[in-house]
Amino acid sequence: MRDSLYLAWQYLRHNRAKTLLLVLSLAVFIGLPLVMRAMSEVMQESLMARAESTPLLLGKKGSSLDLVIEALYFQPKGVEPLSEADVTEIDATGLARGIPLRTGLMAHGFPLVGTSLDYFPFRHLALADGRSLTMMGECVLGADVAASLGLGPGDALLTSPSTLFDLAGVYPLKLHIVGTLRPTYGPDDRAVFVDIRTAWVAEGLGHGHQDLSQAGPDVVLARKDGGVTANAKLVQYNEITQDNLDNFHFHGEPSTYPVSAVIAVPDNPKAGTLLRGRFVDDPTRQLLRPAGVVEGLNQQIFRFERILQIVVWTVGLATAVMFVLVMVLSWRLRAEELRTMTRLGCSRWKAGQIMGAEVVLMIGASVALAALLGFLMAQYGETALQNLILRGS
Amino acid sequence: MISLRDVRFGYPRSRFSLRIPELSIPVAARAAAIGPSGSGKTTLLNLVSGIERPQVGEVETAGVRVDRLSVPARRSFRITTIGFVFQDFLLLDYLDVLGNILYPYRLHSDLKLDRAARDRAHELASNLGIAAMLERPPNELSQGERQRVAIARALVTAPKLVLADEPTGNLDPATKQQALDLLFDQCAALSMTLLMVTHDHGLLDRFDHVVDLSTFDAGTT
Amino acid sequence: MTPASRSIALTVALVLLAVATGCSKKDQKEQRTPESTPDTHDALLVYTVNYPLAYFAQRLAPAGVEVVFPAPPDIDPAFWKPAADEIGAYQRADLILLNGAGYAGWTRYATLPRSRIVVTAEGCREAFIDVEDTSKHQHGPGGEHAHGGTAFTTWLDFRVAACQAARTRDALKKRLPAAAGEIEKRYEALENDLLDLDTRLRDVAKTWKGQPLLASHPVYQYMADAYGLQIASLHLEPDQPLDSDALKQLDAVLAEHPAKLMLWEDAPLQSTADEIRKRGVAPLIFAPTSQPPATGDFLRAMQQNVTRLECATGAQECL
Repeated sequence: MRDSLYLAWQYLRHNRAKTLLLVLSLAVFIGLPLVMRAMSEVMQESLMARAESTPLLLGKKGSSLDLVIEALYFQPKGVEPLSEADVTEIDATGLARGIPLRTGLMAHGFPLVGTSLDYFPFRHLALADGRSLTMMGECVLGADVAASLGLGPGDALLTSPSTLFDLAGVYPLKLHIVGTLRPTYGPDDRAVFVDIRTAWVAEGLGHGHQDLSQAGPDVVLARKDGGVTANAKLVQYNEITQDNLDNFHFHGEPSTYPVSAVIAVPDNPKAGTLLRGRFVDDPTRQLLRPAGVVEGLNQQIFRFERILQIVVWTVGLATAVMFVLVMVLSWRLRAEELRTMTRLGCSRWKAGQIMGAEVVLMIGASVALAALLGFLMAQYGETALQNLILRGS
Repeated sequence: MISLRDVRFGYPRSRFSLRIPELSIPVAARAAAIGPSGSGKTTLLNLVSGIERPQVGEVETAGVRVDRLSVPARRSFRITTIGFVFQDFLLLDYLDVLGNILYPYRLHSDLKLDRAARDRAHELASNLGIAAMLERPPNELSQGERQRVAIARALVTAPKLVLADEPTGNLDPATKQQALDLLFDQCAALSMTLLMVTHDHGLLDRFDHVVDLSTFDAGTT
Repeated sequence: MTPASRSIALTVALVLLAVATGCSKKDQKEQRTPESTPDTHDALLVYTVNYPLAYFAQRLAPAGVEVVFPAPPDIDPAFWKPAADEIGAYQRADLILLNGAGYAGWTRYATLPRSRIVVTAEGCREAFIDVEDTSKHQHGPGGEHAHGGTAFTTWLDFRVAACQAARTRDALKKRLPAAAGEIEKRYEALENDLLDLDTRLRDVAKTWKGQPLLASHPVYQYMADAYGLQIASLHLEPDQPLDSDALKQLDAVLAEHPAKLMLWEDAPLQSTADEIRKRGVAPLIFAPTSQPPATGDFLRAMQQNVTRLECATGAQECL
């Protein structure tokens, strides 16, 4: 057997290109259906785990899938926002506590998520370094954000401007990083978390500027009836610090400030049912079970996967046939070599063993390659798949 | 070494037939087999080596009645007792020179590729002047060098009999003589019997025995 | 090892590595991080933003509840700015009692766990009282706006205080359902105490019949509104002497509002007391008690406040 493997190996090594092509083809044939199945299962489990850990989600009436994707995976889908009053309403029912989410803004390419402190224990997020948020203007980074940007407590990062060329647009807000989170291998690793009020400031609903009562004539246009009108020279602050905190304020009624979605955490299953009942006939809002929505998505994925499997198996069969054809042709071309072997004293069985060893080695290499593909999928596939499917949906 | 008596042979589904009433080649002889095309020179080698079995008659090689052996026994006998040198050398491009020399050891479990075998291979390569080429593939060698590799492969198992089927057919005259010198020297040094098929009558005076197959009843009817 | 054997061994190792790493990634995923919850402690931990709320919590809470009011004693808690670690301490509490009405401005910008916050004064009045002297200003296209200004010493309306105590009671009962009965009993006693103060102040108002009062600081808005007291406020500190501007301001207010009594958060300097007496106004201590008093507790301090007012207004015969 050792001699057969040796001769087979030498032959395959000599015919590298042909060997590589056949191995790759076989690896795809062997690995692709398995990888697809594994990918599908991993993604479905991952999506479902995230959804099942979120008992109820309140949002504006519209696409339930978009709402779930934006609230659970922080992918901006342009869902119409609720308001802070909706969060208070959930709290006031006494049936659940509301955790607000404000999404849609970005910071260095990562989603900026405005929320409350309750979000962190709810999602079992623990600190890897630094401390939790204590005031506006601070942020806590998900594990991947910290690793990717090389930032940690004490550093700062800017929010992305909401409008690049609009002079009246919102300018970047400088956030102070106070903590980084431990990895959870989910969407929270790729988010920048802020107090929801910081998110409101970042999107221009609140601002800070120099004290007008102290401002000089170059800034003040008019003082009248206790009111002050200032010009564009007024210094607006682009970061919130202990020193300028008092100069930050919000306009309008806080209860109207936007909230992209509210995670409702019922006190018990009965409370959850009662709460859902209250929103059944609501004309403008929907209170849904993310698990139900993701189940629907998973069924679509499963259907799509079934079709893809048929295609893959068909192609795979063709690949197998091609492989057999190539091997048969190859042996026919080596007929003289086989005759020589026989003349020298090699049995047909031994000759078959030598040829067979080539097939065994190629299949072995294909299996190893398929295993490597599976390993890479296990390492990186879940996040990549989530991003691919969620961004594309 | 070789003895044939009342041998009759014909290929199935072919009109070719060969009759050899008597043929004898002594041990350590240098024998040549000549004859026109289709006279059965290669068939003679096949009968002697056990590749083919006569329908009638006796074939004795190195003291063994090969006509009585089973197919596996003939293979075993062949690989342990006989060395082959082919006209086209039939070297394998995917093995280096050393790999080609040791090739017979890979083909049958009766041969053990041990230290002694490797030493023999290196010694032969040295004797044949190809020691510096052991790690090169055959397609990088000249015709003469390839012939020497083929000779080394035939001799590495220390056979009692070397069968060469027109080994110098593709060589130029100078290389031809050189190759023959090497073959004769090695066979003599290792006390091997040589039976060589050749078309070249100019070489016959270098052989002890000449078997003229045109004197036998052979051909296609 | 021959090159062929080396290659085969490498391939096998790669396959084994792939399998092993696939398993370990799954193991990593199953090692969930510990829940980030408030500090695990046996006692229920309650943090408040002022002393009156701490007093209510202490009166209502059964044994095993720790009530913390961490503001330094020399700082007005309404304007205290806690550092990050102090905010962190609030975050670890099981229950955070806020006053409401904009009290403790730091809660505007601090990040506190929403589910553990109780804004005690919310819903205890139809509306909170706006503070009038706030600068309005305008810049850019946004229009005119002001930066806030709400009176926040809500507990000086003792019915509101009772309401705040009721909110505290509800929060404690929710977290300590087994002690609900005991908490309710304690609340009834506290409510009686607060409503007694309320009744006494109403009697003071009846006796005083709308006569003007002065206040050294604008902290008595809810008391004035609840009990019909006509109080005009200045901005005078008890521990600072009156300068000429302050005296001018005092005289100007007195001209419009001829009060005979002036409420002080703490005892004014003798010189200050003399100046206002010269003007026919008697100083009267009515301490809001946003910090713990030097002696006694909130109830005792309020009872003493009301007694002094009763005596000064004639609602009670005093020696």
